[in-house]
Order: sequence, then structure tokens, then C-alpha cells
Amino acid sequence: MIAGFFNTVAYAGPWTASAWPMPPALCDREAGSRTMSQAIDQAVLADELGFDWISVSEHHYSPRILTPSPMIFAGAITQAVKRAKIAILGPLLPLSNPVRVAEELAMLDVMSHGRLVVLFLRGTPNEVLVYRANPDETREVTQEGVELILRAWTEPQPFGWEGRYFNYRTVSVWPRTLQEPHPHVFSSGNTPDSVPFAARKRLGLALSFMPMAAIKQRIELYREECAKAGWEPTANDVVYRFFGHVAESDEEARRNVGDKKVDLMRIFAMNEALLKRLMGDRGDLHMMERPFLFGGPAAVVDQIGALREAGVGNLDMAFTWPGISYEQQIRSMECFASRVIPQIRAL
Amino acid sequence: MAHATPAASITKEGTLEADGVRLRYAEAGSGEPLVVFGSGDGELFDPLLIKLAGHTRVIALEKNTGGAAVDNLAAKVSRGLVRLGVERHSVMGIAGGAAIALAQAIAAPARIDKLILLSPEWRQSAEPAIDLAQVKAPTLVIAGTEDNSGSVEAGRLCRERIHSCHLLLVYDAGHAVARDRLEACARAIADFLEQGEMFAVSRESQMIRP
Repeated sequence: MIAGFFNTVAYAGPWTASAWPMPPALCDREAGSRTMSQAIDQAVLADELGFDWISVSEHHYSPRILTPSPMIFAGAITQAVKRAKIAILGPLLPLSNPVRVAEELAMLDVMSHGRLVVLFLRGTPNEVLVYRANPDETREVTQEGVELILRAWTEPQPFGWEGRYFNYRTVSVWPRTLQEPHPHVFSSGNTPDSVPFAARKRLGLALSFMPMAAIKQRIELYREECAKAGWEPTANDVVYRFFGHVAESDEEARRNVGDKKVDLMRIFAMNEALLKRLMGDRGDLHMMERPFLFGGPAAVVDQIGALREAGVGNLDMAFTWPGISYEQQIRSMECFASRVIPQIRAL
Repeated sequence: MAHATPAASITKEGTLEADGVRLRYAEAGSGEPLVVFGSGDGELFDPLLIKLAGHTRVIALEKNTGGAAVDNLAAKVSRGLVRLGVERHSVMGIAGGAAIALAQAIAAPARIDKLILLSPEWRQSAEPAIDLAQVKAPTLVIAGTEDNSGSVEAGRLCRERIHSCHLLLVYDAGHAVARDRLEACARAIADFLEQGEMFAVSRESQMIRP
């Protein structure tokens, strides 16, 4: 089992409002700057504690995640994190120029000496508003973008791209990625309709913030689709991203988390009609009563065992949760690293 | 190029004869001539050529060479075309027609304006081997991203060896690239015929509102 640390780079200053977009006036400039230094320290700590990768994601206009450009943050930690892989999970392709993304990721793979892991995403429903993408086309745009990036990384000669959503006449990416043919690439399986694409293109499957029943269902579907495409994935091809909180005992974990919940609908809190329009086929955004992994070391090891049983081989764990302070996150990371990681290595 | 183009209809059909070679041909449209060696031996005009005939004069030749070696045939075809009043022209080879189009570009460089290879099929190991470095005309090779027949590899070789060559990958298209993405192929070919190497330069304004 691979133990990844999801560095959310959450705003270090105080905030209570729940709105999207969050007004910039609520961002204290010093706290914004402090957030970055603290997040780099936290990445270095995760590396020293023995986490296998440090991941960053792309989100916009919100204090929850201050990496609208994950590549910039990843660039910084390639030079600070000495051992762990750098996982960019991941760039939002409907908001990007895929050729530029291919170039930046290739730079990061070289800068990290071949430690890059990548997941391409279409963004949360609200994020189409950021650069005004069409919400009805995000899946198709993302899938074409993925294919274009894979080509840009592997074609030995300059080429042009006559796509449905992207059109270039001259593509010739330098530097080439250090990893050959390219870094390990995952593709989202959060909606069942996205799973066949990952299977067909022989990409890994990434799932996030979903209950165990849905995880099992998606992985089963992925295996079926991979079989149709003539290959068999392993647990190493499946990553699950989630919130976790580990303490010395179940009781302490319960005390730390209290009755705080994460309501994904509140994260995207905005005009209701607008949100309904943006949700499209995204399904339900559910309330999370508590972190997915939760409790003392023994309980958490059991929960990870169940994930492994379901076919997950890569954990991407965020230690943030409402009410959990930065210091509590660090203690939880240390506990996870010393008491849980040694026991899940062989899973 | 306009997005909507009038459907052209065949204006002339006949047999091109030169030095013992007889090839059926059909033509449509007006403008600079584009000679096409098609992929099959059946209908000479397909939806792609009908679209292209909305932009230029398309002369479609059957591929069936009666067993003549492609380099001999290329010279004979050139002489036959003169009889049709076609001196300088562009040439497009589709799939198996690519070898003849290449041979023509090599045999009569002064007469070939531009070379287009669509889903090219030919073996570099074939005898005699085609020396791509001898192609002087600006060249466009088009292949579908789902084409596993070797066309993409052929395109890379052309891009590497022909002094002015563009390789254009058509997303979500297989070997029948123009059937799968007709508009995309027609647009790219029309752009290239009109602008040659300048087709890589955008002419679309980035201004949204003046």
C-alpha cells in the first residue's frame, strides 16, 4: 500500500464564511504568505516521516486550497522534498491549455528527477465559472486534453493536433519527461461514465471522497472495462483520496473531531439555481459525518485493509478537517507515519 | 476558408491515357488543380473530395495501376495530365494512393505545388525504397489518433525526412480518417492548399469584442 499525503495548502488565517467564490477581501495578505511557507514545511515533514508521495490539487477562489496553480507549488517542493514522489492530482483540463500543461509537467518530472505522478481532472462543478468553461462539455474536453498531453509527451516528431476542442498546428514539447514513456497517469472514476475512458487508455483510476460501496462498485467496473480493453489493472493502478484523522486512541480521535462535519454542498455554496445548472450529471454531493479514515492506529489499519481488499493500492490522505488545528494535523500525520504506515506497507 | 461550402458535383469523367496506361478519372470544382490518388478502386469521389471541390479543382484518379511500378506510373500520369491541361498541380494520396503521390512528387518536383498524404500506407522497406529527402513540395501528412495501421509511423518518417513537412494528428479518428472526422480533414486540407506552410499561422483574431 502506497501512503500519500494530500497537501491541501489550506489558508492559514481564520475564516468561517462558506461561500464560493470567497471574496478576496477576506484573504489576509500575511496569512496568505504564511500559508505557503507552512505548506512547504508540511511537505518536507511528510517526506521525512516516510509518506510515499506529496500530492497537490488545483482549486480556485477559495481558502480551502490555495493552489490554483498546483505546478507552481509542486515546483517549489521538488526542491525541498528529497525522497517522496510529487503527485499532481491534478490539473483541471477544461481550464487549461493542455500543451502548456504537458510542458509544465515535463519540467516538473525533470526537476524532481522522475518523481512525478499525475491525475487529470475536469474540476468541481463550480470551477467552470473560473475561466468560463462550458459545463456540458467538461468530460469530453478533459478526455481530449489527456490524449493530447500523452501525445505531446511521446511523439518523437513535431505534430499538429486537429481536435474537437483543441487545435494546434505545432506541438514539440521540451524537455521530455525523465520517466519513460511518461509519468504514471491516473484518470477520474468519480462518475461511472468516466471509468471506461481510463480503462481504454490504460490509465490508472482515481476516486475521491466517496463511500466504500461506491469505491467497490467503481473498481469492479474499472476491472470489467480493462478486461474488455485487454489488460488487467493492479491495486497500484487505483488511488483513493479522502480525509483522515488518526490519534493514539479511538477516543482521542473522537474527541479531536467532535461533531464537526464536511458538507460538500456548502463548499460550493452559491446561488441554488446556478449550482443546479452546474451539477449536471455529477450525482449527489453528500455530507461527510466524519473523516473516512478515523480512529486509533488499530482501527485505521483495519479500514485501510478494507480499502486494499476493495482494490485500492494508493492512499491520498488529507489530514484537514473542520476544527482540526494545524498542530493537530501534524500530530495526526506523525501518528499515522509511526503507527500505521509500518503496518500497511505489506498490504 | 468558409465553414459552409457548397456541395460540388462531378463535372467531367473520362479516362486518362498516356504511354499505355489507362486510368479512370473524374473531376469537380474549379481553381488550382488537386490530383488525388484515392484509397479504393470504386467510386472516385467520396464526401471528402466533394467538400474539397467546393474550394478547388479536384481531379480524382483511380488507384488501380494495372501492376505498373509506381515511379514509372508517376511520370506517365504527369504526361497524361498535361493532355487534360494540367501542368502544375498539388497531389494528394489517400491510404494506398500515398506511394504514387509521393513518387509523383519526386519524379516531377517542378510540377508539384503541394503534397498531401492522408492515412498513408506504404512500406519503407518496399523496393525501390522511396527517398523522402527528394520530396521538394511542402507536405502535409494527416493521420488519425486511433489509426493503428502504420500511418502515424509513416507520418513521423515524412516529418523527419521531408524538408518541409507537417504531421497533423486528427483526434478520435481511425484509418478512415475523413470518414471519422470529415470536417476536420476538409478544413485542414483546404487550409494547407490555400496557405501552404503558412497554414500553421493562425488567421483567427483573438479579439473577443472590439
